[in-house]
Amino acid sequence: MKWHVYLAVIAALLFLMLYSVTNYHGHYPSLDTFYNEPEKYAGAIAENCGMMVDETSDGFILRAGVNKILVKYNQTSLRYPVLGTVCVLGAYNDGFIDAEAVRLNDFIFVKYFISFLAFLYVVFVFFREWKITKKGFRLR
Amino acid sequence: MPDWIAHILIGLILIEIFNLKPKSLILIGVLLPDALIKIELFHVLFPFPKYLFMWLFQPFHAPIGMALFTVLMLPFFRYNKAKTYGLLAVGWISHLVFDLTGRHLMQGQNLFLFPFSWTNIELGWLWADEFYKLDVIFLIMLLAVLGYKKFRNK
Repeated sequence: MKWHVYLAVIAALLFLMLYSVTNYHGHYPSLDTFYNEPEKYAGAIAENCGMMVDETSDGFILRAGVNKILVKYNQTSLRYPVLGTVCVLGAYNDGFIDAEAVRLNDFIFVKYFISFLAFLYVVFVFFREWKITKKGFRLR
Repeated sequence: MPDWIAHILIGLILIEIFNLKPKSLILIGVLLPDALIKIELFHVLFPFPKYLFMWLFQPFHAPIGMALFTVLMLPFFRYNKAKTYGLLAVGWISHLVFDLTGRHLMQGQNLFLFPFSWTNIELGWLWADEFYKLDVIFLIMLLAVLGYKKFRNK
């Protein structure tokens, strides 16, 4: 394949990445979106997943990305996820999320760990079939 | 959505049913859509700009991004280009198809028609923490396929 084809593919991918990262706020607003433009996105309903870092009297503190926010959720059954994360669906308000639904992803860290083991298996199979040469990978 | 064990089991099932070789190309393809987008998972360890990375790499979890990215992988393999592309594509197509089983409160990562549509398409069968169900199902399926092939070759 000619070099200009690869160049065109790289350009197309860069365009898609740029388009995605600059337009997602309007489609899937996140905590970042809200912190950047709180007035514009006040009342917007969104899903945010992250770590439950603290419990409060009326909910809990969610850390999603680099930001933390209070999630107001009055359920007596609320607890910390076991080896996992928490996902919150709710409306942004001034300084907090009014949660409609909360989902605890128990043991999702186990999923990440066994997925890493699966990755190691693929690496093992790959290098059993291919060897590295100066011109790229060749079948053994 | 399924974990990587489930995705790899699906890849191995396809390899066994259709006698696909070299099988590592399928297995690489199977993990390819998640390779970049999962960088966002660092957010579970420490404060990390997960949304920036998630959306920056979202195109790689969509057919159009994968179709383009696979082209960039071809020069790294001294092997039949069409076959390399085809095997990698079988892998990532199976990944994207089986990610449809996922269930979210609102927002998934299956933007099949990106960049023409931002609609997340999913069947909504399994929450992210129910990954083990598909592991068991696909392991049984793989063992059944291997058992059948062994029985037939006797």
